[in-house]
Amino acid sequence: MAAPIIKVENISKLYRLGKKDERATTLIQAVSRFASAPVRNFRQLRSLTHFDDAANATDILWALRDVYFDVAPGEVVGLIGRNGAGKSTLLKILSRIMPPTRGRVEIHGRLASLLEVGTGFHPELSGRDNVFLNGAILGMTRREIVSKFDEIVAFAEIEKFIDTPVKRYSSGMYVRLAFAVAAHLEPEILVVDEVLAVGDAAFQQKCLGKMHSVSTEGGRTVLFVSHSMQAVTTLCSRAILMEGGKVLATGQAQEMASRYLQMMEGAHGETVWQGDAGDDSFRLKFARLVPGAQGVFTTDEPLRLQIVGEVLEPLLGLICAIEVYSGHRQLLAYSAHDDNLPPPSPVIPPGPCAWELTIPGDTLAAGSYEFRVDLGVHNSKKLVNEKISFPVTLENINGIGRRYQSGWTHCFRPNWPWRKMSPTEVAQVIKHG
Amino acid sequence: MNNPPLPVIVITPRGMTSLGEWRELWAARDLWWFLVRRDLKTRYAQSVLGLGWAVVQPLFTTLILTLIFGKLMKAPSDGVPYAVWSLAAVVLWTFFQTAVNEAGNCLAANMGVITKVYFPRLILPLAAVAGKIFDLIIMVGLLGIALVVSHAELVEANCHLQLAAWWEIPAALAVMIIASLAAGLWLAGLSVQYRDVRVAQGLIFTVGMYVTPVIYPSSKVYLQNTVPAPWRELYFANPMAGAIEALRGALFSHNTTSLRHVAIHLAMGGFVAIVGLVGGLWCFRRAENLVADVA
Repeated sequence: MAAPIIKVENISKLYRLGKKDERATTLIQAVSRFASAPVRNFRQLRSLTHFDDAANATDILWALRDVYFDVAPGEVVGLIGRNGAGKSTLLKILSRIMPPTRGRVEIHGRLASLLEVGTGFHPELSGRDNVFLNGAILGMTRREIVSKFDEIVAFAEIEKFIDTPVKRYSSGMYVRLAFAVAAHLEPEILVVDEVLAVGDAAFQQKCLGKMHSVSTEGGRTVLFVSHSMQAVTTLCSRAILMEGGKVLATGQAQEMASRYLQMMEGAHGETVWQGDAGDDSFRLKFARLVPGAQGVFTTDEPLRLQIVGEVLEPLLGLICAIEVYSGHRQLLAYSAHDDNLPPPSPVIPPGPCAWELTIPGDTLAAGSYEFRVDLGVHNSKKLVNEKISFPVTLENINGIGRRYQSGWTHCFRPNWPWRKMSPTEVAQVIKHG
Repeated sequence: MNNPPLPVIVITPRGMTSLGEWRELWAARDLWWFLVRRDLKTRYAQSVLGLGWAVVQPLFTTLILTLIFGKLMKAPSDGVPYAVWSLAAVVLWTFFQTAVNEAGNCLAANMGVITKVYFPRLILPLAAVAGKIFDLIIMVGLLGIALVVSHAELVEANCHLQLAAWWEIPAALAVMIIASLAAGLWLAGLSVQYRDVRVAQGLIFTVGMYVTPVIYPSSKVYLQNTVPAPWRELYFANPMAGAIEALRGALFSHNTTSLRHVAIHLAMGGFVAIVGLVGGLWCFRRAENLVADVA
C-alpha cells in the first residue's frame, strides 16, 4: 500500500452533557444561588471546551474514542454505522469544521467536503453569483470557476435562469445547480456525507453516477458516509464500520455491509410473532419471517414466512395468506396457501397445521416492506383480528440490478431473462414490423 | 497529479500552525471578494431607497444632533457651523459602529456555512469590514456635498480645508478601519462562548459615542482644563477620538489643536488599535476552533 493520503491517529472527541439544574429549597438558598449564578454560568460555559477532568467526569460523552485508520491514495472508502456511531463527527473533524479533543490527522492534498449541497447559497443572489460564491466556499479559485462555469450551468440544465435570483428557482433547479457546482470540484480528496439522500430518484442517480466517475476516472480519494449499503458496496472498495464512537472493523465493503446489516437486525423490528390469537375454531400460535443465510434480509436470498396454528373444529374455506405492502403502505401482492390447489377448498380437520411461504430471491427490490398475515374463512369471517405484520428492510448487496442505483422508486426487481438478439433475428423483426 | 507537491494539512486539537493559516488566508482571497460582493448585493436588495439607506442614517443622526445640541443647547463646535462639523464625526462613527457590529456578528450570521465547510474563518470579519468601506465611500461623498453646500457658511466662519494636513485624512481612516476590525474580532471571538457580549454591545456603543468627540469637540477635553492631566491623555487611547479630531482638523483648520498634537493623538490611537488587532486575532483564532462545537 502506498503512503496513506489520510492518516487518522487516535482521534477522540468529547462533549459535555447537559446537567439538570439543582433546585433551591429555601429562600436563602435561592438568593445565594441567584447571586452566584454568574460564576456558575462561567464555569459551565468554560467546561464546554475544557476536558482536563475527562477521566472521572460523569457528564462527558465520547463522540469518538481513539479512532484510527489510514486511507491510501485513490481509494474509495465507505464509512458505515448506526446513527450516533460518530461518522458525521469524524467527517467534521476531517473537514476541519471542528477540532478533535485529542489525536492527530494528517492529510496530504486538498480536501473538499460535501456535507450538504448548496452551502452558502444566498436566495437574493442570481444563479451566476451563487455559483461563484459557492464554488469559492468549497475551495475553488475564481479562475477554476470561470473555466468550468459553462460546464456547471450545462450540467445543472438551467442556462435560461442563470441570472435569476435563486429564490425564484424551483427546489429541483436549486438542488441541481448546487450539485453541479460540487460535482466540478477537483480536490485530491473528497469527503461526502449522505448528500445523495436529497432530491428525487433521477437526481440521486445522477449524483451516484458522478461519484462513480469521480472515483474511477479521476483517481481521486473519496471518503463516503452512507446508510445505503447498496451505494456503499457499489462505490466503495473498502469500508470502515463504526459503532459507539469507535472503529469496529475495517475491510472489504461487502463484508462490512453484511456485518452492519447484522448489527441493524434488532433495529428492524420483530420478525417473530409468538402468542395465541384467533377464535373458537382456529388459534394462531407462531409466525415468523426467516432471513437469509447471513441472518440478514437481502434481495438475492429467498424470504421464508412460516405460520403455525391449530385448528380446533373442522374448517371449510380456511384462508391463510400473506399481504405484501410497500414502505408507502401500498398493497403490492397477495398470496394464499391454496392458490395452487384446484377448487373446491379442502376441509381442514382439527389439529396442528402449519404453512411455509417462500418468496424467491431476486423478486423484490431493495427497500422497506411490510409482510402481513391474513387469516380468515372465505366469505365468512376474519379468524385473527390482531394485526400480525413484519416490517423489513431489504438490502441489495449481491443481488441483481445492483449496478443501477434504483433510488427506491420501484418495488420489484425480478430476475427476468434478457438476451441479445442476433443480427438475423433483428433483420426478421424489422421485416415483419 | 503528481506535479505540484501536495499541501500537507495536520489537524490537532489546537488547529493549524499559524504559518499555514496565513497562507490559506491568502489563498482564499477570491472567496473574500465574493463575500464582499454578496454583502453589497444583498444588503439593500428589494428595498426602494437601496443604496440611499447608506446616506439616510448619518443624515438623520446629524439632523437630530444639530437640532438638539447645536441649536437647542448651543454646544461648542470650535466655531465651525455645527451641522457639517458634526456630520464629519457622524460619518466616521456610523462606519465604526456598523462595521464593528457586522464583524462582531459574522460568525453567528454565517453559522450555516461554518458548520458545513471549512475555509479560513478570518475571511468573514475581513469581508464584513470591507463591505462597510463601500458605505463609507458613499458617506464621504455625502460629506463632500455637505462641504460644498455649506461653503459660504464655512468661509464666513473662517474655516477652510487645511491642505498641509491632507495626510491626516487617510491616516484617520486607516486608524479607524484597523480599530473597527480589532473591536469586531474581539466581539466575534468572545460572543462564540459568551452570549453576554452581544447583549452588552448596545451598551458599549452608547458609552463609546460619549467618550468619542462626536457631539462635542475634542478641544473640550484636551485644551481646556475640564479634565485632569493623566485622563486627558488617556482619552486619546480611544482610536476614534484621534481619528475624528484629525479629520475635523484637516477639513476645517480651526486651529484648536496643533498639527503635532493631532499626530501624537492619531499615533496613540493607532498604537492601541494595532495592539487591539493583535489581541483580537488571538481571541478570534481561539474562538474559530470552538465555534462549531459551542455556538
